[in-house]
Amino acid sequence: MTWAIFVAFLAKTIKSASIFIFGSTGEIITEKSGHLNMGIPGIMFLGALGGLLGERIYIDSVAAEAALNPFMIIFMPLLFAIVFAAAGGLLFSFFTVTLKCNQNVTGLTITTFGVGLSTFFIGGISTERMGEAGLALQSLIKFDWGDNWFGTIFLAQSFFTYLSIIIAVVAAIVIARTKLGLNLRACGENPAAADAAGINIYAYRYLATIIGAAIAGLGGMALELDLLQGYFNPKDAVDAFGWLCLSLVIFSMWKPGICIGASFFFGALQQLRHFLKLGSVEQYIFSLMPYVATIIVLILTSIFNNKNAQPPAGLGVTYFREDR
Amino acid sequence: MEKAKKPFRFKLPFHVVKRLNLKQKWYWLIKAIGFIVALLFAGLLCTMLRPHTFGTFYEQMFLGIFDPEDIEVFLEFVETAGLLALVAFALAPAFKMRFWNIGGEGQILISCLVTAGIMKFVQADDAVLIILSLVCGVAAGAIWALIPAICKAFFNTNETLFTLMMNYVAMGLIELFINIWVPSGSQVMGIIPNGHLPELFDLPYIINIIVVVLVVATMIVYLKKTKHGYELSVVGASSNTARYVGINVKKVILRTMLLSGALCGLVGFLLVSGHHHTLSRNLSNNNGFTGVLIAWLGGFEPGPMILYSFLVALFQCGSRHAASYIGMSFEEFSSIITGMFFLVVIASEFFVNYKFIKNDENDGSSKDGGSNNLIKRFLDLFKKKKKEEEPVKAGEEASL
Repeated sequence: MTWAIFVAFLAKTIKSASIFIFGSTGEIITEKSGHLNMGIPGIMFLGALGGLLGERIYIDSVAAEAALNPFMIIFMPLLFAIVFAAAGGLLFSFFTVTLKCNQNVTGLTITTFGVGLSTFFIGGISTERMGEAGLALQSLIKFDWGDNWFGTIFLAQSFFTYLSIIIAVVAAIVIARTKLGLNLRACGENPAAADAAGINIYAYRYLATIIGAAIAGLGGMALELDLLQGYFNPKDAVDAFGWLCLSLVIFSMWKPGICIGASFFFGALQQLRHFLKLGSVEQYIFSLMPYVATIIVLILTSIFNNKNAQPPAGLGVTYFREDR
Repeated sequence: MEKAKKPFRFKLPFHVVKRLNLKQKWYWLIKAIGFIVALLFAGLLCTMLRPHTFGTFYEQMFLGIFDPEDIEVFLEFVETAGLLALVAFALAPAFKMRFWNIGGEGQILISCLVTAGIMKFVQADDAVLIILSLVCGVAAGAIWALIPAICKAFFNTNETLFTLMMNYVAMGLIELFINIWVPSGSQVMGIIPNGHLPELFDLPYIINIIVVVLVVATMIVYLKKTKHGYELSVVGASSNTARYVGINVKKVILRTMLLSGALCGLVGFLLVSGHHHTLSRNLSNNNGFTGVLIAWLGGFEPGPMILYSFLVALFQCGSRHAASYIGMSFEEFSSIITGMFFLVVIASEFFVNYKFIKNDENDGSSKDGGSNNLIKRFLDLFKKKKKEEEPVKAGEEASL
């Protein structure tokens, strides 16, 4: 592997890590409130559908030869992805918070539903001028650092990559350092006590699920528009990204700060097989790695029973006030 | 003398309480309404996507499960339902002891992999081949379930996420082995010529259906009539209670997961040897996940689980046929419809478990203006204003 390829590999790793960061940060926020949203893969691909639809609507609205406005190229998919994914999150929280349904079951259903819906419609959206939009998207934020390794790896990323890191850092600070985050964690650890302390559990769980879903939806959109530039098949991407975001949450032990680093690790595992010039058999073995790594972390954390690496105590339990 | 302003609080005119002892009649009525609503939604969605297909959709959906000219359509419908029921019955014991085994998919697929491998590479008579692949497939499924169970029993590892990850390891292994076994790199394995289950009466899937019926009947007896079945519901209700009455909880977890995985392995064997005769990662058609939903919605009770299996199979087979008749991509359309069916049925579960009760006007909350009738609230406000004009009572003064 030469130096130039290594630099390209690192740049690509960061790009694919951003998708993991979006997905797992969203899921961490949801899980901190005590809800295990297994619909995250479905919601991510609702976000991808929204992003693609937003891009298409904007591109159709400009004249055929006119230049694309870089701001609108980012704004329209962002808006649509957030709305679509938040709708998925709203559906999940309506079922689990208001209707008090089982979270595992609702989550799996939303995944089936969301993946089916986005696969069905994404096939029908034309990818005309999507590549051009992808290039314009790259050039929106450009720091001029010249053509050296630092510039290529860190300063030539797209807007979405920077956004993902900003969101993860903000989420880490809010969850660990603010009163809002304290209340949110209280809802997840011991909902009955939080309710007694006057925290509106239902509001927190609704908002955490919807905001988490919106962030995860951005991940789907970034995958679609940034990494793959309009050409992807959600059915394969669900396994490659959707469920891995869920396992990343365990891997990073429910901390958005750690999740940034863990995402780089997963991103590297995913990109390495394209750059190492592996034979096809080794490639398939490589693609198993993230799952096996998650299983190992899962077992190790349970053996050592580390107090700081446990899921929220109330995770997966639907709260009903009269249930004491 | 200013009175502290009361913050405005939005109050619903009813509250939600748990429902105890719902009458059977109402249970089935709620479920029937859910089914009809889901059917209606499916038709509406189809009309939205392709105009003027409302009637055609239902007609083709019916033809997708029962075609008077082609008995195989009906047999395939029954087989789909049967395999779904078998997966649900495999998972139900684990769920009953609150072991969230969502790794049914992986346990099925690993068995598919082993069965296909034996069918492809072992040179023997069909009878030997079938027995060998049956035994190995079932064992593979059992081992795949046993690994998370051991970790759960000894380290208390989170089984939901562990079994979920095992699904993807199994899928990855299938892709890996297809890649090794198919040298052309096309990732498509053709039909394997040996080791097919025979066709009784010249009809396909009959053996699958018979096996499913037998195993499901055994499982009903196992869950309802044996000591094992009783033990696992005690463990599910409270693992401490189980320990105190002398049940070895670890043993129950391991034994139940072994059974659960073995039955999923059986499904994998039936899929490869009795139906598809090939290997691909989508072979189980999400049955492992759908089985989770069916087991939970059926409340781990045999009757409802079998009923749900047939309903889901109806939506799957029917909508697939209808979509391909109308000319849409049927796999995706079928998963949208199935997802929608589940959402509606899950929502109907709320009405089974909870009920609305109108707030009592005379309870404590209504004294401080919490009355819900809008007109009454205005009247209260009016009365209060009048009160404020009167001289303040001594008691209120003291409280301020």
